[in-house]
Amino acid sequence: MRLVILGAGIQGSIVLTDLCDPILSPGEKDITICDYNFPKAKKMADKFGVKAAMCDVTNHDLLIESISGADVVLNCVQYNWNVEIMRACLEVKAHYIDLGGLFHVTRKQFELHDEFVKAGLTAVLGMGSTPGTMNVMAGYAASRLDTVAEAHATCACGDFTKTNAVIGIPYSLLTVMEEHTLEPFILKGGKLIAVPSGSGQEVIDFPQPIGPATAFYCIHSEPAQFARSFKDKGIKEASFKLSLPEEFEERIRFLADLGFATETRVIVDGVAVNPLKTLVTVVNQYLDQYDGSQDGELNDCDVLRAVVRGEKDGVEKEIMVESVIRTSTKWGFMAGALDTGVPPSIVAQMIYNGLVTARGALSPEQCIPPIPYFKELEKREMPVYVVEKSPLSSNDFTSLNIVMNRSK
Amino acid sequence: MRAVLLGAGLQGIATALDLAWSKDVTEVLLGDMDIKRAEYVAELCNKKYGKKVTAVKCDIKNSAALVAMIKGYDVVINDVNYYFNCHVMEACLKAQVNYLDIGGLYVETKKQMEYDQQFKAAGLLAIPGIGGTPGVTNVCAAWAAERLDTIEEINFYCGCDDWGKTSKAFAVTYAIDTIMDEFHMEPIQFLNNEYVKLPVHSGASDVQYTQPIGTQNSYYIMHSEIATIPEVYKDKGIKNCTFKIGFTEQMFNTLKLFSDIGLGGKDEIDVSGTKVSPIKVLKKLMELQPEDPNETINDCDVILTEVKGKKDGKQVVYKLEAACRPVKEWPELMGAQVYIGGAPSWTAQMLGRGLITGKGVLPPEVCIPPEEFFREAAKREIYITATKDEVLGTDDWEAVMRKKKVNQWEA
Repeated sequence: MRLVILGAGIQGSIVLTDLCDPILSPGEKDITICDYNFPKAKKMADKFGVKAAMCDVTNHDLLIESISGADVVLNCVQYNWNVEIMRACLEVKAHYIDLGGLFHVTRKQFELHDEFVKAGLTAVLGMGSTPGTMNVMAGYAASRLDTVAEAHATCACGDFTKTNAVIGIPYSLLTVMEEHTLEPFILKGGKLIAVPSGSGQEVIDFPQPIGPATAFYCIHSEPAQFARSFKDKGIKEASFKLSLPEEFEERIRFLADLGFATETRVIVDGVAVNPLKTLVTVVNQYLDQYDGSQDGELNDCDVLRAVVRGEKDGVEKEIMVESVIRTSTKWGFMAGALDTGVPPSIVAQMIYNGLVTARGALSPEQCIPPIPYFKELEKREMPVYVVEKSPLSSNDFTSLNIVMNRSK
Repeated sequence: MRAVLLGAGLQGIATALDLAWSKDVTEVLLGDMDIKRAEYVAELCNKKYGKKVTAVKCDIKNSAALVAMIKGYDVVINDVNYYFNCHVMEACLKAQVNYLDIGGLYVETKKQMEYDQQFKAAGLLAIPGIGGTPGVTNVCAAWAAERLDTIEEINFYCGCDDWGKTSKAFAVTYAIDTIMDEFHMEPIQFLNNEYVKLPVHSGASDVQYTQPIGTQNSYYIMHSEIATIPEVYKDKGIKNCTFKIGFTEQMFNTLKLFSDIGLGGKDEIDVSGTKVSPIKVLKKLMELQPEDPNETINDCDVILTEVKGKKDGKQVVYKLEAACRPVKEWPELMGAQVYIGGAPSWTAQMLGRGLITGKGVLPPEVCIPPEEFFREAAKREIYITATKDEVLGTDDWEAVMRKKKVNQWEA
């Protein structure tokens, strides 16, 4: 099995860690990890005894050279170059996996579907936590239904690490700020429509250790993916909501409202300055200088929840599939990183071992067999479970909705 | 009287309105780097009070142009950032014009005092720190000091709150650069006859302000009062002089966020090859927040001056206090602007009327007659109340203070 990982950042290194675990990922493998910053890739490669290469994904020839001969390419770089990397995979006849395209890029990637089908290759788009595991969970729920009316994805992040840091960043600050300003898209009445960023706020009761938390719409690929994957089952509504730790959310929202999320330059003393980049620079400087020696051990949590509504044998059903993820006791990775970095490793092996047979540019819910995949997650401390809600006194929830929604 | 006003910012607008409102003032030349802002302020004043204010583009860093611009006027009121105080004072010496400003955050004030001989020799007066605080507070201290034979300590407190409604993410009542400076700098206080540098935000305690603020946690900050008061009242025996500020918890936490992550920093950082000072980006983004047409103004600064001393051998504590709120005459101003920006204007008018006669660099407590000053303040709905505390039947204050504690016998 020849695998090439593009990107030696947080996710690339988790992918590599998982692939190199002899118990979790058995079998001979020939792995190369690439990064624009070669020493960074080399350091990771040396740790696990794999190959390292310098690769600038924006340089087509260099990219082709880096990935030629690969069975599967695992794309763990910033999502902006997804389309180019997919095209390169078509050229060298490699399967492809990435971590998501924040809605807009994902939609462009789907345009390469026919070419992947023709080439007999699989491109799994958005195979991290969410999108990723979330989609497989929704796919499982949909498989238990004849028709699908709605599919909703919700992700809650909690961080219980005892820290004096005024701001801790669970993932790329650039992405966090984008999620707070870019207009989210939801599927409503069968159409993808833009809604205001931060809208759709509601308090959702998540399982422990998160409990009740406020979630809001944010831009993500899942609504576009669900609309495409569950079209034949009649899907009309789809959404993605995110819930971040309250204090963190307040601070990010405040800084975004103040204008620090914009890349539109402002003139300061005659010099054009990018506010978002200023914030990122300042925060990174702060985090670099931050002395965490007094902090407690990492202790965070992600909850992934997919809720799908539809009918089975003429009876309305609501199926919720959920996973609770904590800081990895095995590797020490934060939950928010672990659940994103592990799935590409699992799926690359499933493709190679013939467990993923569908071809084309596909969402995880279209091609990943759910139960075998969930079993792999469980081995990595990420249990998945289902809750099915069915009406007993009639065939639908109409009466229940009336009594539940009456004002208090 | 003809006045030059430098700076059309948060306080400049209030000074301009106060000058234009006054019958004594015939002409105001308003200079700012940002001519659009200066024109906006001038037009606001002229619409209300007839054509008195002229806006000009002015880069105060250009000394020669500044001297030429201010020459022939009676007074310069400096409402630009305090970093330029000495620079503007030098221009005033060259142009032979009296000078007022609204504070120098201790460090600059100390430097400014060194120009005393030069101003005296030129027959001119410079009053450093005649805004709200420093300014009104210094005059309050003077009023109490006049009534005492000896002074033990003078403590200043300022509590702030804001109940205004706005769609803006963040708004402040005075310059964000100064607020961040005050937040970062280790405060120098005068304790036991010595100037000591204390840790930032130290000395935090609950201070009782008058309503509508009530109790507010307040801590030491660097402030200009401490640069002059201990020197002025040395002869009366002053041993302690402190300044504490109180913010709402929300405001404090926001300032702490800026301060901690580094958005309040002055030092330049490299952002993708461009050198910028984070505080300037923050300030710019605050300025760029869209105006809210439905905004309501409803803020309050309470300034409290406590002077402890002896009169005829008996210990007395004077407390002078004012709740500075928005006023009817200028609905566009926050209460904080009315007193901070207003004080240099009415002081300049007192100077024009010959009520202030000193020469040199004189702090407000030295050169301003308090009663007259408070009458002017009252015309702007700034009412200063004074209370005198003394113990009857004994002079044992320690025993009295003990009775105010829940656990009175605790050390």
